[in-house]
Amino acid sequence: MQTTWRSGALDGADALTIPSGLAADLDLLTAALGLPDTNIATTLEALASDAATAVPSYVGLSVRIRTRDGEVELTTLDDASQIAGITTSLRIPLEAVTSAGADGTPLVLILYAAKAGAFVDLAADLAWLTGRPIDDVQLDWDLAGGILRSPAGSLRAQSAIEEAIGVLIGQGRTLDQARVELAGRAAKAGVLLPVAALAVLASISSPPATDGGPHLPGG
Amino acid sequence: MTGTDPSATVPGARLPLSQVQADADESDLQVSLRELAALVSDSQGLPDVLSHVAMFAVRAIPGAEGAGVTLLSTDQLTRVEGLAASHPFVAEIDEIQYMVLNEGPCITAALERRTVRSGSLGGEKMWPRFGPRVGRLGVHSALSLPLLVSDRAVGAINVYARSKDAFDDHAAELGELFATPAAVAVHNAQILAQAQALAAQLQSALSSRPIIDQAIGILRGRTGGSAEEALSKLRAMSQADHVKLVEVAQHIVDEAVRRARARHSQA
Repeated sequence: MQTTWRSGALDGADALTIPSGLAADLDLLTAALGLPDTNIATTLEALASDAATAVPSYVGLSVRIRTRDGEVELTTLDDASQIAGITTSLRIPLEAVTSAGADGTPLVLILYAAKAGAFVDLAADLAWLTGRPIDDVQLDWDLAGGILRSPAGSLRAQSAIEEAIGVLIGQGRTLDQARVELAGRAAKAGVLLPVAALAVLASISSPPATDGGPHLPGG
Repeated sequence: MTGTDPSATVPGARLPLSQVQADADESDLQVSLRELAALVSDSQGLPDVLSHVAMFAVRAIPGAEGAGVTLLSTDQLTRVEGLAASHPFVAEIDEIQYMVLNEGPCITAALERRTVRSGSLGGEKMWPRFGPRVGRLGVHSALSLPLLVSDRAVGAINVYARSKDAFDDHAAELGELFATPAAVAVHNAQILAQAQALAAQLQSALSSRPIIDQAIGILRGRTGGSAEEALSKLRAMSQADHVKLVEVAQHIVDEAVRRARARHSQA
C-alpha cells in the first residue's frame, strides 16, 4: 500500500506513503464500505498525489471525523521528521457531501506543507469552489498545537469500544444495556471508555461457557 | 512554458496579423481569462468546471471551432480521470483518441509537456492512425496545450477546427496564456472532487463500522479468538453467501440482541 513514484517534500520522509497502521485502518473501512470497486486507500493516495502536485512542499494529510463516540483522526503523518517540518496547514470542512448511507457526520480534511504560505492560493480556490466564506477554509488553524496535542482518538479505540459492546451483547445484554454497563465499568474503575473496553476484551481470552448464542448465517 | 513543436508548424504560421485582428484576439483572451477567474465562484463540481473551461478555450483561441479538456491521472498519464467537450464533434474525436486508439495530440501534449499542433491531420505523421481517422470526419486542424501545474502535466486542452492550417503561432501563444490559469483551476477542482469522494467513502464506511465491530465482539466472546480471526470469519461468510459484510454483521448482532431480549422477557 505505498506510492513510490515521487519523493516527499522532506528528506527521509515520503509524503505520499501511507503508513502501515493507516493502511490497516483503511483496509477495514474499505471492507465496511462493501463496494467491490472502491478502495479508500486508493482514493486517499490520489488526493495526496494531486495535493503534492498543487503544493510542492506538501507533507501529508489528516482526516478528522466526529462520530457518536467522539472524534477520530486518520493521518498519513507518523514520522517525527515529517511533523517537525510542517509550517503551514489548510483545514477544509467537508460535511456537505452526498453518499448513500452517509449520516452527515462532520468531517474535516487537513493538508500540511513545509513551506509557509504554500496553501494561500489553494485555500482561496477551494473556498470559492465550495461556495463557502474564505474564513471557513482555515489556514494554519491546526498548527496551534493541533498536530502535537491531537484531541482525536484512534479508530482502533472506537473499534475496541464497539467490540466490547458486542462481547456484552453476546453475554446476554441488549445493545442499550451493553452501552450502559460499559460506561458503568469505566466510571467505577475511573478509566476512559477505551480502557474499560480493552479490559472486557482481555477477559475473553479463553472461550466462555456457551449460552446457545445466535446461529451465524452460513456458519 | 513549452514551445510549439517546430515539426508541426503550419504554412500560415508567420503571416502578420492586422492590428484590428490582434486587438480582437487579445480582447477575446481577456474575456475568457476573466470568465475563468470567476468560474470557481459559482460553486461547481468538476464536470462543470471542465465544460466551462472548454467553452472558454473556444473563445480565447483564434480559429477554434471546438475544444475539449482532459484531466489525466498524475501518476499514469494515459488514464483519463475527467473529460469535457464544448461540442459533440469534439467528444467524438476524444473518444477516438482515448478509447479507441490511445493516440493523438492531447496524449502527446501531456506526455511530452509541450504544445503540439497540426494543420493537416489527414496526413499527420505524428499520429498515423488518429490523424487520418479524424481527417475523414472533416476536422483538419488541432492544437493541444498541456495543462501544467508545478511543471507536472495534469491534462490537456484540445482545440479543433475543420479548416486546414487554422492555428498559427499567434493562436498557440494565446492558447498557452489561457492554459496556465486553466490548469490551476481544473486541478484545484479535481482536488476538491477527490476530497469529497474520500469524505463520502469514509462517512459511509464509518456508519457501517460499529455494527461490524459489535459482530466481531460477539464472535470473539464465543470463541475467545482475536479480532482478526473474527473478521476473517465474517468475510468468509460474506463471500460464501454473496452478502455484504455489514449485512452479515447486522444479522449476527440482531440475532444476539433478539436472544438477549427473549431471555430478559422470560426472566
